[in-house]
Amino acid sequence: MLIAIAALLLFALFALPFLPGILEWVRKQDAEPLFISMEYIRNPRYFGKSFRRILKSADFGTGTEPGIYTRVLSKEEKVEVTRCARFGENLEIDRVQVTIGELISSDRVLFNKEVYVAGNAVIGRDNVVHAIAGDGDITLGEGTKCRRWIDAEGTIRAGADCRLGISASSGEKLLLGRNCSFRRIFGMPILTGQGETAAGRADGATAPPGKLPSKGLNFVPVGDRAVAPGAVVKEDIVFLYDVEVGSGVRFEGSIKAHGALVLKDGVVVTGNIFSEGDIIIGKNAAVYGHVFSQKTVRIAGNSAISGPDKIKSVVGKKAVFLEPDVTIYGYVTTEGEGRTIGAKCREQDSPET
Amino acid sequence: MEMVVLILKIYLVFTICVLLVYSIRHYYFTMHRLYSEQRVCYQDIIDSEFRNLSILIPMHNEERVAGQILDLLVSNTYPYHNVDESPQKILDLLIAADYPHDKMEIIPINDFSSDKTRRILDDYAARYPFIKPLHRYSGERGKPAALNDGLKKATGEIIIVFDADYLPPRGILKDIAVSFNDPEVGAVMGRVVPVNTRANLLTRLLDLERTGGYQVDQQARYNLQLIPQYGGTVGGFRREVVEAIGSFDTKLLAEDTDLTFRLLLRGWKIIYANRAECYEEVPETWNTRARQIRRWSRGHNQVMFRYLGPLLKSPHLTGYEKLDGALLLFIYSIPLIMVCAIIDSMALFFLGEMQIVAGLLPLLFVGAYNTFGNFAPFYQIGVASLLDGATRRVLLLPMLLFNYFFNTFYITIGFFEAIVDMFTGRRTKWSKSERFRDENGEVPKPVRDPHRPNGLSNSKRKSDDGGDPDSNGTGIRRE
Repeated sequence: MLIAIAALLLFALFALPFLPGILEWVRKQDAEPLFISMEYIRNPRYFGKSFRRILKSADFGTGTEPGIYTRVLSKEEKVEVTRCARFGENLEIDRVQVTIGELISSDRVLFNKEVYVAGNAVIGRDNVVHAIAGDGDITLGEGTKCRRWIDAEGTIRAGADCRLGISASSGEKLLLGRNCSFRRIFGMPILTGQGETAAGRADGATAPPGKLPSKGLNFVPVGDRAVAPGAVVKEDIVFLYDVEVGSGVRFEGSIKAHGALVLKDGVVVTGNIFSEGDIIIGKNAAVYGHVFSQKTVRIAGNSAISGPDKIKSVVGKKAVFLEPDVTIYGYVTTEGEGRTIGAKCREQDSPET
Repeated sequence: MEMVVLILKIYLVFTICVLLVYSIRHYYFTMHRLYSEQRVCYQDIIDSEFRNLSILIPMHNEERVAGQILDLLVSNTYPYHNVDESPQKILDLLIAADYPHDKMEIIPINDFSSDKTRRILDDYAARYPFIKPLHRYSGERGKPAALNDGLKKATGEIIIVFDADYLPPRGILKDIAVSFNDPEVGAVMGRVVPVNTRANLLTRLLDLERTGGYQVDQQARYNLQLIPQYGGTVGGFRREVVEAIGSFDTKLLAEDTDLTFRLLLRGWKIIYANRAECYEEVPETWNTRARQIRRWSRGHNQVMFRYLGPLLKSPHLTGYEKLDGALLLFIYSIPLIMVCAIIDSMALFFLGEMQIVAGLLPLLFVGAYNTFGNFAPFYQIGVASLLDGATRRVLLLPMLLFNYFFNTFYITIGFFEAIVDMFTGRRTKWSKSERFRDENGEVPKPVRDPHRPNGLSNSKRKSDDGGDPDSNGTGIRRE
């Protein structure tokens, strides 16, 4: 009997650590496969498209009669539908706004809920907007802050000192004034300007036409720390250290740098630029492909990334700084700080500071 | 006799050192994944230009699954002809679907199938001109030989490989292809997620192993710029590069590990893309698993014997890369080292020679190792589950003990087979893993679990990240 009890006890002690696992195995409380969204694709205009779809599914459209409705969007919300909307100074709006015509707000208006505008939207100075989708153009006054996202089918003009939230995307141009901050922006093109808005500027420079870089066998790893001005490099090239590329160098291929990469004024790259360190692109430079850094990207004035018929990306993990008169066709993203900076402030605004 | 005892003691100390190194490796990777800065992945890039892809799918008697993977790949694509070239239209199309038909070809490789695989592939080829089956009924059998024939037929700049049981999601082709914009990248590896986890205890334990292997181990190696491994499926490589280095060696069973090291030794980099996730079917019977792990061990050790020396001498790799590469190559030797150490310690015990070192410090050291070192892999898997937002499945961790003994046995057999291969030069015979999916059954459709902290398999993938317009359908998120 004693032996049987001892054996039972031994078995229990052996089984005890496995007990929670056995229970989970039997109950299958967490037995489903890890979730993969089978429909997942990247979309820089995700927020605006998704919000419009929600409104449409809640029967809001240009034919909706003005009034106040209570509808379930992602949760139950009060939705105010107006033909045209004008908001005076210092108002605080707590309803989702659906405007079939134009929307104009004065200074210091606080929109605590999402806004949809079928026409153009003109937001005054120092407004706070939770999120706004427009089928026309959207103009943001100086100092306006967006908490979440902005999406326009037309052009977005952001005045000086605007904060563009998590995402600002445009079906046409995205014009950024000085000292605007952002995380993700998309436009065809994105233009940076010195004034309150960059409106009225020409479309800016365009990167040179080139072929899709498709080098397979002949990248050249080099240990050089500088490329002489005016050189022409006709291969994909990998720099193993920090490197400084002289003015006017033309790369007919892609660049990879294991350290920081400085491209002086007037450099042309027909391929992509990848770097493990900072990427600094000088004035009047043109890059046909992507610019991708695990640290900071800084692009100086009159430089262009990509061209009107191509969508390319500028990715700077820690920061992206854009000086005035930069033109980017496509997408810019950073996990850290994105900002338009003045050319005069180059030293104090440098990524190192 | 004294000499024998001395050798036994030296071996035991050697084993302790090896285990200590691997424990430190596990903890370092895990802590780095938890607390250090993560490198941004190339999948953040949005591009309107598409590289030419050839998608190779080796198939041997795959009538149960052949149609499903082709359906998924076909529905993932859209017709690119007659499209207005304006950027807006291109963007809309980019958003609407994944990859243009005229930039891709799907080459299912029918490798000596005797079931309905051939008929299924011909049926698809008749409907879709970009599906170009390759029927092989002569020459060598097996995946490496099939891939070599596929490479000869392929015209794409980039080759992407899937196994036939895989369920590729809509955006995966672009996610893999985009990494090749980096001129230094030779191959890309995505993440594999088991789809049949509910089947039984084995599938649940394999799910845990996969989670630890990808979410922590591969991602940490990518973060640390070490050596993520190309795994042979859910991944891609540059066609010209692989052709130039002689395609796949049909004598080896681990053509993926072989390719990893051949690329590295020529200066190319391997990238791990955690966001490029794809479902696979894991073995549901212990017999199938035994054959699989034995084959992996045999193939991996064949690669180790071949590349350990060149790896350590390579001018293209840093010291850290060489260390990581060596530890990766030795990984399927550890079970044998452990088995020998157990026999060794028993021998020393019965010889009365177990006293190797004396004093408090070694005692504390052994105690510390017993506390922390033994649990390093379990800790890694637990953290990986945490990162995936899966919580209750970590309760199964102690049961991995059974897998440990099981794997040790079959990996050891595989090791000896690799030694015989090396000395005899015999040809290896490829054996395909059995499929368990029902031919007419539905593809399992996992659902988002609202009770999980994130309900997602990749902690970076939130609706915030500018993607996934259909997954939750809401653009409204509160601060």
